[in-house]
Amino acid sequence: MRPKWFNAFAVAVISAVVLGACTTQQPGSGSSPTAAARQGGTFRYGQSGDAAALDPWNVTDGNSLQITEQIFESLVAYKPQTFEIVPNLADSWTTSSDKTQWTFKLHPGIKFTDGTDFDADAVVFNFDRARNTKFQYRNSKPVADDYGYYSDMWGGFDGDSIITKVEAVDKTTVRFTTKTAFGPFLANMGMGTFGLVSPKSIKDNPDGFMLPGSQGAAGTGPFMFKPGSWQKDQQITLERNPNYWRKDDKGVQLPYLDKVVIRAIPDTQSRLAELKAGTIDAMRDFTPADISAIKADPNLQLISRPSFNVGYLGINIHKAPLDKLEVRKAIAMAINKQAIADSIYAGQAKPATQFLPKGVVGYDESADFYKYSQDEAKKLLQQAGVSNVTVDLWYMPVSRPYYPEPKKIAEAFASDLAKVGITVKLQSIDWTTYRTNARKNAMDMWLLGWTGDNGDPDNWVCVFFCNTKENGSWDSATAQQAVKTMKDAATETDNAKRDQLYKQVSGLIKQDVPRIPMFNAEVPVAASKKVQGYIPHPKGSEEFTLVQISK
Amino acid sequence: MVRYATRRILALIPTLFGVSLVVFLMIHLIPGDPASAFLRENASAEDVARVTERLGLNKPLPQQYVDWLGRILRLDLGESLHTSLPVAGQLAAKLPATAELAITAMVIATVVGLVLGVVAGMRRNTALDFGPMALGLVGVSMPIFWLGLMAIYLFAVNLRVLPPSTRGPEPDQVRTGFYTIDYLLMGDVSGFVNAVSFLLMPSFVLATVPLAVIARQTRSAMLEVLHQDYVRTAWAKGLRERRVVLRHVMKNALLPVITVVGLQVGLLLSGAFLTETVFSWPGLATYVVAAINGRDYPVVQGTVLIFAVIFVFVNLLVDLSYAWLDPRIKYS
Repeated sequence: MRPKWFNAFAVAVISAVVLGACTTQQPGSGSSPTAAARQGGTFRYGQSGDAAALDPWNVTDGNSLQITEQIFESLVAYKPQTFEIVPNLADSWTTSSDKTQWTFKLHPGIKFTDGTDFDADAVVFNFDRARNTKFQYRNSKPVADDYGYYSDMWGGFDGDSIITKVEAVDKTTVRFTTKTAFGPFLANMGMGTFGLVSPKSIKDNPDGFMLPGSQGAAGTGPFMFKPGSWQKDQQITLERNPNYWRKDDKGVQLPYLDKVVIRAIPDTQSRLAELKAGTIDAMRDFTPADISAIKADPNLQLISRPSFNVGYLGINIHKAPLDKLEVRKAIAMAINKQAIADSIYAGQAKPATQFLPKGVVGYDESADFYKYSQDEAKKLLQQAGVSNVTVDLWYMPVSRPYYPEPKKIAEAFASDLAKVGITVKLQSIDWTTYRTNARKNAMDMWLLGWTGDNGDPDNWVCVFFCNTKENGSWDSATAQQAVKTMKDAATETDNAKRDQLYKQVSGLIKQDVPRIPMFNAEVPVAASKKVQGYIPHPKGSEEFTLVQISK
Repeated sequence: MVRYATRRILALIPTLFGVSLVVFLMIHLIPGDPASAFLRENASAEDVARVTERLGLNKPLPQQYVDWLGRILRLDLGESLHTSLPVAGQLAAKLPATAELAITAMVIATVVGLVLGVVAGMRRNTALDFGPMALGLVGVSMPIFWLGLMAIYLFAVNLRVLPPSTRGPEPDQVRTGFYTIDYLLMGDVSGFVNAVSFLLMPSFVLATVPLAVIARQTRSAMLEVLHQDYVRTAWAKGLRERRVVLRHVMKNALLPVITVVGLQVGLLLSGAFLTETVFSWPGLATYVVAAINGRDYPVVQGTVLIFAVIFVFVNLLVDLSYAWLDPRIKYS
């Protein structure tokens, strides 16, 4: 006897499959981009991971900062879409004639969401906690990046710190003293990682206020953390700060949204499926290959983000034949960057002409980094007297904003280099080892890159070339000169002078070709058309104060 | 039986000791260190040295192993290097997610696999045999991540009948960590239905491979038993098909099937890793993969140890169930 239930089951399965295959794109939940924006609502955001900790001072990764920037604010901020410094928690500032003292006048009457006052003492407390490794309320165990940004941006802790003193002059006046004049001072101050945390939150639980069981991580930002609303590695729900201190141009209290739910959806394809299914409203971190699918969906929009990164080709300049300048120049000329930008990046990238991105002090509009010419490249190789060159080219196993598809890009480089007679062997290894190897010059050539933090040129060229012992070890006489120029530029505070100094640095880099700048990639956000007012910032994360969801 | 079980449990100790040593050495000896994993692209050697010291990783390796082992013996799995959260607490939070997924998948695979296998065996060389067996072949051959993505696009993006990924909202009161059970305990039926809707797709996808294997194994075991004399006797006695199949054929065909089911549990754990990744299921997979990439030593060591314990115990249960199913097998 054939069981009847089985026939019914088989029919059901087959019809479900056939039906599914025949179903085309559904028209979504019925919204048009022109629908009126509104106040309130929940904004659901998908990203590739959860915050490591809710302490801006202890995180450096984009996923963490995207969350902490909703809760905590810095003294100054960057204008939307640019790195122009604008007042934030500080209304104004002055600097001493020798540029070693900065005095900030704080916006009066702001409170942290735990009800305590935001004042000069709170600013002092926050900076002392990071700077002074013996500070009473510094967490006893390292968390996430362990004040990585403070160390990077301010030269280290304790005696190494460029900031030597932070003092409260009165309740709304705070003064910073630095060892020397320091060009990037204000740009650094605007970084989300220096967002101010309520001292009460920290004192109550120095080791745990930033962790999932937290009873409070209070800031002054547009949204606030409620205990119990953080399911680690799944999602965090932030609620509107009802006492937020800012209003929009029309006097409407900000933020517009009631709630923000930030979900960790590690797999890019699943994240995209969630967006298409309407279970999240916006997402980031996808590859150019996904862009056509996003554009094809009538319910979705692509919101562009000004490019602020550079993907480069690292070179071990101490290894033959890469130690020959002609060979390095030939490599720079042999690769057709424009073709790769058009194909693999789907037009979402431009060939990089220097190690500074557009919009930064020192950027040279007229610069190029050796024009593409395979004939010239071949000539240079002949001049150098090298033939049958074989080099290893390493690509990272993970997608990075500047190199979204490292393997395909490395293959394209290899194919271009083969045409001028350089044989490339492609190699890869896991990401952690990869970075260690890059530091130790354990590879011939490698892909790597950088996304800027604060719009200051020091945060670009000095990151790449101030350290002459690692990452390619550019240590020639030209390099020494470049390092000196970068140090001078960092202690200079006049932007016109800095502009000249950094252009000199770019010239020295081009002269020696210690690395080759390849692409400035755009890293857009994909969102439902219901989302309005989402303005991606070039630094890679942004607060959702102005975001609206239309019905 | 008790003596046998005791001996097997005692044998666990050297096994786990070996596992702990292998895991410790593997994760510590592969290149790359936690400090570089946490720091950014431009971290200098000084940064790396500073964080390494703060993490206590500058001690000699044997000392680190002894320290870790000492903590394990006190049932302390240590803390994550990256988030400083206790590993045991994180495992307790994430293990139920993986267990709920794996157990549901195992139930689906066993029940559906047994039914399909029995039907195919009884109706040999008919459509009811070829159909499920062909599907089974597809099930074994299909990569889980591909099947998962196709399912998401079909049921979540196109049909919009199931949620695309993750586990859905956490119940207000988490008692067992199994969302379906927790919602039932709270008496929240719509919450339960919602939790099931999140569970359906990943568990079916995860069930495909073991389901196919179990169905094929059941079919061949059935065929073997069907030709035995006592089955012919049962038919000759005029027993109804139901009784012959359930009482005489299945009970005897089940033994090899149980072995396969036990082995599938191990495979299920590895399949769960892929399924969890595709469905962003917040279980152990995402946790461990991130920990391996970040060289978060205590997390990797702790999780692998727990997995080893689970695997060894499942094997023990399988062995013990033989004696229960087949009275001829005796352990002493």
